[in-house]
Formats: sequence, structure tokens, C-alpha cells
Amino acid sequence: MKKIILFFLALNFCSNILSQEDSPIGVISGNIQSIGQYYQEDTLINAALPDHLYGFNGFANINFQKGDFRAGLRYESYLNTLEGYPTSFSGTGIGYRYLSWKNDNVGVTIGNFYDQFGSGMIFRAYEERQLGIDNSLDGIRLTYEPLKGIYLKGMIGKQRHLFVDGLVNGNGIVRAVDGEFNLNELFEDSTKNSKLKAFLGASFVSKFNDDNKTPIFNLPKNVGSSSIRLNLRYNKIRFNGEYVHKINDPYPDNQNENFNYIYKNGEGLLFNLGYSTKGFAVDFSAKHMDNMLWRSTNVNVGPTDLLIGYLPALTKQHTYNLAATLYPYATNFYGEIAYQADVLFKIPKKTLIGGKYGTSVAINFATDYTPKRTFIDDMDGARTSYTTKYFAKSDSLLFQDFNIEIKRKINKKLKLNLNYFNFKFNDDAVKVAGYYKMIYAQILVLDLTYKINRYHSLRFETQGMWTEQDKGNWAFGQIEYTFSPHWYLAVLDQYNYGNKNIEKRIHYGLISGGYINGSHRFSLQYGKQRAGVFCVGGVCRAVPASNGLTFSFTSSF
Amino acid sequence: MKNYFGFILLITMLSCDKIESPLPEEFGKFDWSLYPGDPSNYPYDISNPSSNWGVNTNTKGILLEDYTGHKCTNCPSAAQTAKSLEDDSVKNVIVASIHASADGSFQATDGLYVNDYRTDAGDEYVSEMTGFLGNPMGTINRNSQGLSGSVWYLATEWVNGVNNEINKPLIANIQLKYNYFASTNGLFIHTETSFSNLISGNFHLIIYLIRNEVISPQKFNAGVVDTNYHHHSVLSKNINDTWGSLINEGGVADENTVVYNDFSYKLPDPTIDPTYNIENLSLIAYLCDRNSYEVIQVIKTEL
Repeated sequence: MKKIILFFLALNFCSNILSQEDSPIGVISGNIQSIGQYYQEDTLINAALPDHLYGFNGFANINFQKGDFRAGLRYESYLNTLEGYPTSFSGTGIGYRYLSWKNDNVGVTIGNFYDQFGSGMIFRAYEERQLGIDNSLDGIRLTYEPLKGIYLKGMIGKQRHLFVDGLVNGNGIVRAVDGEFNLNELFEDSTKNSKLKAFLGASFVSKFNDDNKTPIFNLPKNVGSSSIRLNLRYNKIRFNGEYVHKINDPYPDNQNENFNYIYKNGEGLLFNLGYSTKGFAVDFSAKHMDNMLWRSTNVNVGPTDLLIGYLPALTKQHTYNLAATLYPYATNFYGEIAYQADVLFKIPKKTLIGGKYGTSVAINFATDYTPKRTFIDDMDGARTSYTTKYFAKSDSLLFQDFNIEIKRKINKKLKLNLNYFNFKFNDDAVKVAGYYKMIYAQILVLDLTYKINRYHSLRFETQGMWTEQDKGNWAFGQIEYTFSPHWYLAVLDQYNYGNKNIEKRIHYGLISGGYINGSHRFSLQYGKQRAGVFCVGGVCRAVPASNGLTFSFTSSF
Repeated sequence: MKNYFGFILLITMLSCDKIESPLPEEFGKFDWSLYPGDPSNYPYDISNPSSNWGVNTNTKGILLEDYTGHKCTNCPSAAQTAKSLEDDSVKNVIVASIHASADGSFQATDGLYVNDYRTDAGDEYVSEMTGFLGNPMGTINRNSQGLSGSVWYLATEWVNGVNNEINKPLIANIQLKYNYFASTNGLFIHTETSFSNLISGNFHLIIYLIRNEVISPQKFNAGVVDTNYHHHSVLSKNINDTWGSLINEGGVADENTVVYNDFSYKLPDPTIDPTYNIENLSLIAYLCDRNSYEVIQVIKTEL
């Protein structure tokens, strides 16, 4: 631990010298995030006491730039890994490093890099630290702009898989090319005055892996995936469409025999149509996704490990506690037929309904079904297992979310945010709640912020969730007191008052406070955290129950 | 740069393996429609067959093929001789009743003898293995010490023939496992064939499907017909054709030769012919030199 603290102090010292804009040796910048937690045993909420008593995750990015040259690294520490975080991350060391330079129309990156083609269905290398996802590529990336309006990328590398005192890559090799064509730039003369803006993109990604040595099947060592995409914008209307196709890519599946080593091609279709103008926006999305699990290995690994492609979520990312962590949407890797519609509008100010300052309303509806599959008896032959048709959904609902958000400034001191959520959650398919049946839940959230004066404000948040299934009803309350610019203090409680098991009608109380000074933030919290699921963009990780003292520190320079 | 990009594009585009046949060749041997599940979960490790087997403790067997016919009046007494030899556990005789003859007259069907017990294999054995005179005759491990140096023994010589065969050494052995799936009536058979000495010859593994008992008319002397006759150990089908599967390439086998064979077979529907009920069926597996016809080992497995 001392070594780590010394490292971060040294880093801060160096940054003071090198971060000067006029430094002749370049500019250095970075940030640090660290979270530590002392655990306490709490049998009431099934919070286990790990042997190491204390968990710590720390990350520090250091970037250097001089002219067109950039270099950087991320130092990571998992000592020991926080409970609930992937246990495949352990130890301390460098988890990310790169060098890059760009001259004229050519760019080169060596080492680790993140990137994404289109929506990410065919390729997305990204970091989602809260989930423990980091599938950066470790290799070489080239970018090239042969003509104005033509953007080419080519890359080859291995994916980050584990962290054991440093970066540990998977064995699979990912090879990817992407071309994006800005037709307006490409045909600048003829489209100069056109209101139609068009982008065309195409990608091809392939992987090589020989991890799976099963003699039972002839497995493809090289698997390719291709995609095309089109983005159009005309005045206030925009359209995005993308199609991705993947050839035979069998994976073991111990849960569902119909998906165990199947050789069916994967397909994905994603459409988005939107219109927006001042005070009003409407957006519609549709997704057909079938058999698009796309990893750089064909052996069983953790659910978020070694993913090459990202399956976009057609649901709103919720932030309020009960809505975000009890029954969140989780992507179904087998396939989905999903639709989402958003309507956002602002009721004008100084009207009867809009009030003095106006009222913002956001309505969101998302629904997600299992594709309609016709199973064919060919597991002794071609093993395609089933057939599907585009956007043909079954009657098996996976997830449905209807929610309304109303934001209104009542007066100069008081702001109101009112939310309603209506969930239908098929836990038999999603299996994150441990209930394994359909769950119907409604949530109401009232969020009030009262500005006492220029430096002091109070925020009240109360949530209620009502359901007949699973653990029954929940209530949530929070009071947050902020005295700007440095301090805040919050107290919250979650209460499972509707649990049919009276002994499990537990209060999860938590107190937290923090100090903020410029780009530095230090916080402490103590109390119980219930077990739940944390999801970002449909990718989830289970969060175990815990009780104890947590501190976090973030800073940037 | 342009060339480098082209190179990346080329290797990327060419990097696809389209698999036309997901199951490896050994899996492809089977009719997997007879297995009610995913082949990958099949309860026998086909890709690593040696892991399925322990030490082979089978002792030397003697194959007595009784060539018979339901209209052959002398055949019941020969069948009785065969049965007596089989019942003597010391001798380890395994009887297969093969309804076959040169002209097929004793095996012909009519309004009384409605069951046709003839098989393509039986007819071919009579035809190819020269010296057959007529029913009842038999072979004893198909050795060439029968009548006039042929493989054929008169029924009166079967006891002597068996006794002469008893002390011959065991130079090859067979083990057999099977899986039967009632829902498909599918039978999956797995064998291990091993040799204990250097031996030359083209050895074939032949597997008979045997019905243990079939009750139907049998003609006796003086025009007597027993309509309730128990035909014993009736050859009903060759699982792997008349001459089976070649075990050793190159005409030689030695103590290092261990061969694994797998077969799948759809049994006749027992709801149509109850004599094919699984409890009434057995497999006889034997190892035969394709040139001399001599059988060097035989085992029987009741299903």
C-alpha cells in the first residue's frame, strides 16, 4: 500500500512540473481514481467477510503529449479486488500503455487502444470500469485518410482478458478493417448546398483462436464478420441503419442445448429514426439480433470477457437506485427483437401547465422479445439448430419498460423531478433477480432540490417500488446536503418493507460525505449495500451485499 | 501505406473458415437421428475411445454356425446338438442359427411357414464358402477341418469339432459396449479389438444381430410340424454387412494393434414384430480372416 501511495505522490509531483502548457518537453496529464472498502460481516443481508477484510481498486492514467506524439499508461491496483468486481483482476501493475503519432493523413497507435465501428455490433473495444470491462486491443492500429471524406482504419491485436499484476491478453487475435465515407465531403462540389448529409460505412472483422481443443466438433479457427452502415441527416430528421453478419462461430453452452456449439450464422439489424426541433424530439429504434455472441475465444469465459462486439441496448439507462439495480435490462446474447420509442418535449414557460419556468417531459417505451425460432432437427448434421425471420418475434417477452420523467423548476429555490417506471421483467430468461419468473413492478420517484442560498442546498429523493413478485415492495429515501463548493453529506435508507419473509424486511442504511476541491474529490460512506445488479448498456454484473466503510478519491491534473 | 492497408484488408477478408460438416468424421459415422439428444453429450467418448475401456477379460469363444431351415426335418436335432454345446459353459460355444442353403428350399415361406429367416449374409456365406452340401451343416470357428477340408461340418461332427477348437490359443480379443435408445429404437455399438501376438491375415470384425428365441412352425420327420417350435439364436441381420469391417490394414496385426469401431443401427420396430423386442436380442461379434474365413475370437452380448 505504501508503494502505491508513493507512486501516486510522485505522479502528482511530476505532473506539477510537466503540466505547464509552455513546457518544452511536452504536456503531461492524467487522473486517478481509487476506491477502498473495509468489510464487516452482516449475516442479515448475507454480506460475507472476506479473508482480506479490505478491498481496494485503484486506477491512474498518465498521458504525455508533444506535438503529434502521444504516449500514456494506466497503472492499476486490485489489492484485493473489491467484492463483486471480476476476480480475474488482481495485483498491481500496468494494465494499459500506448504510443501514437499522427502525421498529415496517417495515424499509428501501438500498444493498447480502444475503438468502435458503427454501433459496436461488429467491433467495440472499450472500458467500462464500473463493470470491470476492459477489452482494449493490444497491437497496432493504423488510420489513413487517402482523400477528404474517406476514413480508413486497420488494426490487429489481442484483447485484454485478465489482470494479474499487469495486463494479460487472451490468446485470440482480432483483425479489423473499417472504412467510413462522408459523401458530403467526398463530393463536396456537388453537395455543397445539400441539406442531406450522408455517411456510409463498412467493416470487416475476423478473429483467429485455437483455444477450444474439443475433438467433438470441427471448430472454425478463423471467423469473420462484416457490416455495413448508413447514416443520413436531412434538416431535423436523421436515420441510422446498420447490418452485421457473422459466419459460423460455435460456443459451448451448458445452459441451453439449442445453442450448444451451433454453426448458425449470426445477424444483427439496427435502425434508428429521429426528429428533433426546439422543444420537441421523437426517436424510434428497432433491433433484430440473432446469435451474435462474438468473442475472441470459443471456450467458456466470464460473461463480459473477450467480447469483440457489443450488442446495443434499446432501453433507457436509469440512474435512480431502485429502477437501476433491481430489474435492469440485460442483453440476451441468444437474440432479441427490440423496439424503443422516445418522446421528449418541453411545455412552454409561463403557461398554465408549463408553469413559470417551463416543464420538460420525457416519455420512453422499450420492449424486448425473444425472436421467433423454428427449431430444426439438424444437431447431427449442419447444427444450425433453428431458423428465424427478420423482426419476427415470439410471444416470449424478455423486458418491457415504460417510463415518464417530468422535470420542472417550481421557483427560484425549488426544482422537481418526478419519475414513473413500469417494468415487465422476465427473470426466467434474464436470470438476474434469482426469481426466475415474470416480475411486474412499478416505481415512483420524487426528487426535490431546494437551494437554501448561494452555497447551501438540500436534495430530497424518495422512491417507492411496488410488486407482487420477487422480494415485494421497496421504499427508498435520501437527504443530501451540499454546502458549496467543498462539502456534501448524504443519508439514505432502502427498506424492503414488502418482503413476504418478515425477517428480510431489512433497512439498508447508508451515510456518506465528501470533500471536493477543484478536480480533487474525496468521499467516505458507511453502511449497508444490498445485493443487486449493476448494468450499463445492457451489460451487467452482480453486486453482492456488503456492509462496511468505503472511501473513494478521484483527482485529475 | 496504401499497400499496407491493402494487405490488412486482404488477410482480413480471407480469414474465414466456413465449416460445412461440424461433426468430425468419427461422429459422422453415426446416424445421429437415432440419438435423442445432442451428439456432444453422447455417453461414450468417441474422440478418445480408449478412455472408455478397461482390461478385456473375455475368454476364447467358439462360433458354431448352424445352417438350418424351418422345412429341414433333420435340423431340429442338429439344433439340439448346438444348444447342448452352447449350454456347456466350459466350452464357451456361441451358436448362431443361420437359415440358409444353396437353393433355399428348406427356408422358403408359404402359408404355414410365414417367417422368412433368410438373410443376405447367410445366403452369401453358403455361396462363397465352398463345400456346403445341405442342411443341416455348420461351421466351427469356420476352420478348415470340416468335411473334405472345407469349413463345413456335418452335425454329427460338431462335438468333435468343438473339442478340437477348445485348446487353441487366444490371439485376439473383442470387447463390446452398446447404448440403446427406446424412443428412436436406435442401437449404438462400440467395440475394441486387440491382438496379443503377431499374426498375418486380413481380419474383419463382423457383428450379427441375433433374436434369442422366435416361435414359429418347424418341420420334423414323418410330416410332423411343430407350430410352437422355439427357433434359437436366429441370425436376423448383419449390423456391418456380410463381411464386416476390416480391422488391420496391411495384412498384419501385432500386440500393439488396438482398433475401435463404432456403429449405429435402427432396430426393427418391436411394435410391428415383437420378436425384435430389445430383451430378445443379442449381438454376436467375431473376428474372421477374410481369406481363410477362420474365426479367431467371438463374443456374445445380450441386449
